[in-house]
Amino acid sequence: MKQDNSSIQPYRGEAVIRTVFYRSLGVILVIALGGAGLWYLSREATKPEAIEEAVVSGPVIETATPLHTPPAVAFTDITDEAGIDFVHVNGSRGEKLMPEAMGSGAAFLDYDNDADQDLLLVNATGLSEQPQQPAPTLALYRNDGHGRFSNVTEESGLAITTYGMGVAVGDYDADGWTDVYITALGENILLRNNAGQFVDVTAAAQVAGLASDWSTAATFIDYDNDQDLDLFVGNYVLWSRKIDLEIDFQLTGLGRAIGAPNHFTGTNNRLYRNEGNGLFSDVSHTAGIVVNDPVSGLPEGKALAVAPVDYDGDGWIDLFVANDTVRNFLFHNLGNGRFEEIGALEGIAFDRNGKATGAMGIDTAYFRNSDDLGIGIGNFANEMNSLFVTADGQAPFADEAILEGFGPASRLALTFGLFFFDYDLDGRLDLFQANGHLESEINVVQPSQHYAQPAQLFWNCGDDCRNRFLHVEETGALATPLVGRAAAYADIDNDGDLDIVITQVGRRARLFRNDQQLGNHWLRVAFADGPGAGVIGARVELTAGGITQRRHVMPTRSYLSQVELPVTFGLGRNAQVDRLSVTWPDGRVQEIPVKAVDRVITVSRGH
Amino acid sequence: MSGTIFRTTAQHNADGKNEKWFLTPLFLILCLLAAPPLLADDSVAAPPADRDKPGLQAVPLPKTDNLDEETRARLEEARAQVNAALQERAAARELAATYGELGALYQVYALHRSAEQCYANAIALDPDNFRWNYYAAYHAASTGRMPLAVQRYRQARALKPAYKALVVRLADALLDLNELDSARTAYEEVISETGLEAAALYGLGQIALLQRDYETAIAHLTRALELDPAATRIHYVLAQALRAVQRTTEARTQLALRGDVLPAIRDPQIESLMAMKSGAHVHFIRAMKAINRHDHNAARGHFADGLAREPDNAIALVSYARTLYLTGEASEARTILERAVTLKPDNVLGLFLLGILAEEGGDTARSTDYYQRVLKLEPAHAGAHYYLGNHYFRQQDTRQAATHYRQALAADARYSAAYIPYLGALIHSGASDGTLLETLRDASHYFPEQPIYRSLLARLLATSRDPQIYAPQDALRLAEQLVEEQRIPPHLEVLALAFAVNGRFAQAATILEEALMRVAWSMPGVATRLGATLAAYQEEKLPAAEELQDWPVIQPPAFDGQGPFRNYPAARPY
Repeated sequence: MKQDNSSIQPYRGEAVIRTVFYRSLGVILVIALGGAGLWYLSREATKPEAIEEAVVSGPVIETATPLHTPPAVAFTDITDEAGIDFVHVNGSRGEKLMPEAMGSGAAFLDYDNDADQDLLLVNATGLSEQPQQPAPTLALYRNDGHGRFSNVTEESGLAITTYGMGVAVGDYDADGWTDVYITALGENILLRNNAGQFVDVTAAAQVAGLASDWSTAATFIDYDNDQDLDLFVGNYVLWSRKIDLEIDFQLTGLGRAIGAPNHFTGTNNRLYRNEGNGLFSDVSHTAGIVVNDPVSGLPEGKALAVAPVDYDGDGWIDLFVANDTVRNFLFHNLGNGRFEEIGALEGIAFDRNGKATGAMGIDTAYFRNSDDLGIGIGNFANEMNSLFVTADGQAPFADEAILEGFGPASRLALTFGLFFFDYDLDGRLDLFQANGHLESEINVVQPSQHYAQPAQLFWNCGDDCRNRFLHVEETGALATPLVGRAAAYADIDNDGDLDIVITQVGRRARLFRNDQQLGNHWLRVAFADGPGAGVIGARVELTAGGITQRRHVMPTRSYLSQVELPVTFGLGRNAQVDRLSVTWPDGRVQEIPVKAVDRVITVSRGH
Repeated sequence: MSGTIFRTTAQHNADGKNEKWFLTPLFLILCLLAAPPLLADDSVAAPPADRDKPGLQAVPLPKTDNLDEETRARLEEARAQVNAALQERAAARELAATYGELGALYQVYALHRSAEQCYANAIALDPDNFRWNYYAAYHAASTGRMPLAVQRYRQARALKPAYKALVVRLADALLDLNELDSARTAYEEVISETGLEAAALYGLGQIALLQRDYETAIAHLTRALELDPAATRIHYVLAQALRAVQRTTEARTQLALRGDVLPAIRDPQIESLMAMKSGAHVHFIRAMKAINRHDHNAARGHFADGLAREPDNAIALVSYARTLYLTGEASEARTILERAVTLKPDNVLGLFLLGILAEEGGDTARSTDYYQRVLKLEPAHAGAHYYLGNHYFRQQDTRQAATHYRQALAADARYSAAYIPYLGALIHSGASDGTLLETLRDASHYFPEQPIYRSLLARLLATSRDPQIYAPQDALRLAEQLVEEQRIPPHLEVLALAFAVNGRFAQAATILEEALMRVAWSMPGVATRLGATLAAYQEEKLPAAEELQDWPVIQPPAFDGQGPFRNYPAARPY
């Protein structure tokens, strides 16, 4: 029987369609599965690690020309490879006591006089009556000269347990070895360096302060120009566990929270005059650094940071004190053993609206390479950081944080450590700040705030830029969110550029190596006489390419920290130095010949 | 295509079997794979009703334990209204209003995450509503997100260009971002608007100051102060401008007037927002701010307002009583304190202040009883010990007095008022010079700015019969420091004594002559004593021992009722 072809044709057509369809299906299936796989794998790869990222809005940056773009610089986290295994203990047991949130300091110092920068990290301990086990101690790491450290805490005599806050370094007994003073919640500790071995001489020196003191910032300076280092100690608030629990500070949405300093009474700072032979006298009152509220009679200050600098060039070192939630102080040295507090008159006491800020870290610098001195202060969250600057080299200061671009970008962050340094060696001082909140759960109630926050680096663009300080977006490992507190710099690997340590509260300190490869020239000036009265407070000026840069020889900067003693000059493309001079604290000016750059020059007084 | 697939899959072969059965589920799988990947749900737990509305995000439910009952109730009610509107499928505008109202409440109570989400939902539902857009902008500004604030202010402004208060706030945000030209333009736009002039001039003054145009800054800021004299914050900024042009004396004058009030902005929308913040705690906070300004009258009013809402807040009642006392209403203060301790019998501060009032009224039995009750509850209460010490000192029971003073200082080494009477009680009860020395050293250490302790220490070192303590050279060094600080008759007297015990009678006499000349007319009693001492020095003799011990200040202190009401620390004032 012959088949009806007309009925077969549709079947053939459908067969073709089916074949095409099956093939298409197969292709679609392969593509879909492949796409799903790619999506899944890429999602895994970008899934953030279990750390909080801070959302810190950047500045309003105008469209930048290539010249006005921060240079690419990477900082590498070398904490592990450098051998820094320090973990800060804050004694937290869930009570949210104020000291638990404040963190502790860091110091770069050459404790063994081998011409490289060792690292001292301050530690705290438990706050309850039961001692913390094992007992946490300070930590001292010796540098091998190449940025590798070994823990020498025990052998150096620094295995000390205390609720440590800050640190000051200086050769107070002029024996050529760098001594150390540790501030604490409780009595402070003076450690005399006997050729690499530290000995507690606090009692003999009479510089412990009171057991009820909460000391924070400290600095060795020669305030009376008698050729020995005196000691200034900043004190915070009147605190005890009982007071803290009674106040029972609450944040709506979180419940009990870390106490705000405006609920606590302030305390006065102390100035100890070095009398020689290892003894100090408390001259706080006679020196005029006691500041009490005229109505209540209670102390006004709540000091967290101090910046010593001769701001008026009269040869006597002055003291800028950053106070938390009350006006900042400027103790103007009158030259007769007394100071006069004139912060409000000189324009550094309050922000541009006349409001006191939560000031934490402080540094000073001639960041414009002019006669104008700048004071940078790190403030609380939702407060711009401050940048007080003189005009035509003279006080008063004006807060120019907005004008310089630094202010808006710093508003959201909660800043502790802050310092000026030339990270790219272009000859202009840049700004660095270590950030981190107080409250671990702050993001629950404030979406713009996070506990861990990335540090911020601001590149100094120079005079030609509308916003001088440009936020550097790409900083390598520095962008990792941290619960940052103290921050200090040093050239730990002797390659000419400056590396950074950041401490964290209740967490591990981090060491970041500067891996810039910009090819800029540099010169470092070290001091053979060490951090004694004849060196601390000196001023170093370098002229290259028609620009004069100035540095103060002053380890005390930032928050609870000490930076290295040598000073670093970035030279940009200048391969020679026109002039280098040191003005010593006694007023003598010494010209230093510079035959070559990209090296360290060691200078000595009188040579 | 799908029709072909389904038709194909539906066909059965000649055996009646469906050989293409797998196609349908395969097709469905492909559809699923081709669908966009599901986004992770990051929202915090919220009322399930929120999730029914596409495009809206769940609003986090915050903890409100530390808020007062009235406020918690308001927040709960507002949130319930949102849920009701969701469940009733209310119209978009109506639903937006409930979100907006809830957001405003969250904002004024600093529950920012929840506020932000409420505003986002409100704007999503009713994008042309000026109020929610404006509140969202204000929220961004107050939480430090200035670029976002500027963006939102501009959006809101487009909705209501005539609302000029917004322009001031936009200008403030632009200033904050270093957009000075734009900020200036905005301030100038409203410089003649009633209720905004001072704020605009303040902003223009700030810009001029930043640009170092000091004369312009002075002009603007001065005018702003004329328009709004209550804006005490302007004084500081004006001081900066004056200082910059070396008008230092005027700058100091302005600094002395510095306060904490910014120029007012007449802004009904924001006023309405701020007015949502009520509840007792709001008033208590205002009261504490007034106390920080030493404005006890205002503080009294605010405490009263707060207590009207929380009448049984025993802690706040004590604070209220303090302000009543300090504004001259001691009797009313007593009544309030008695109520406070009735409500809370272990209210230590309340009992202590009742003791003060009883003592002030001459009822020492009652006051002593109150102090003892305080010590039963808090054995280390410095104030109660101090006042009991005073009581016993006046009764000449110096041993008991010394015990209480010692305990006051053990509780609070900074209780400065206790040191002098403690020393007096020690001396009168025959305490050893060693004990005196220790106390004076502590006092000098804690209060280096009070020379009286070093003065007494110098006396002790100069006159002690204890060879372990007698240190005439240290006494001389201390006395010389005192005179260098302040050349006043008491210091001169101590210096003269120090010279004398070091055998330098001629110098002692010279110094004492100077002291005598200064007090001869004004303090005849002291002059007589100094005269006798001078005579002894002139004969190269030391004064009699009992005269040496006649320390002028070691008497029971006068009663001070004001001090505790004004200064006694309260860790929690409400």
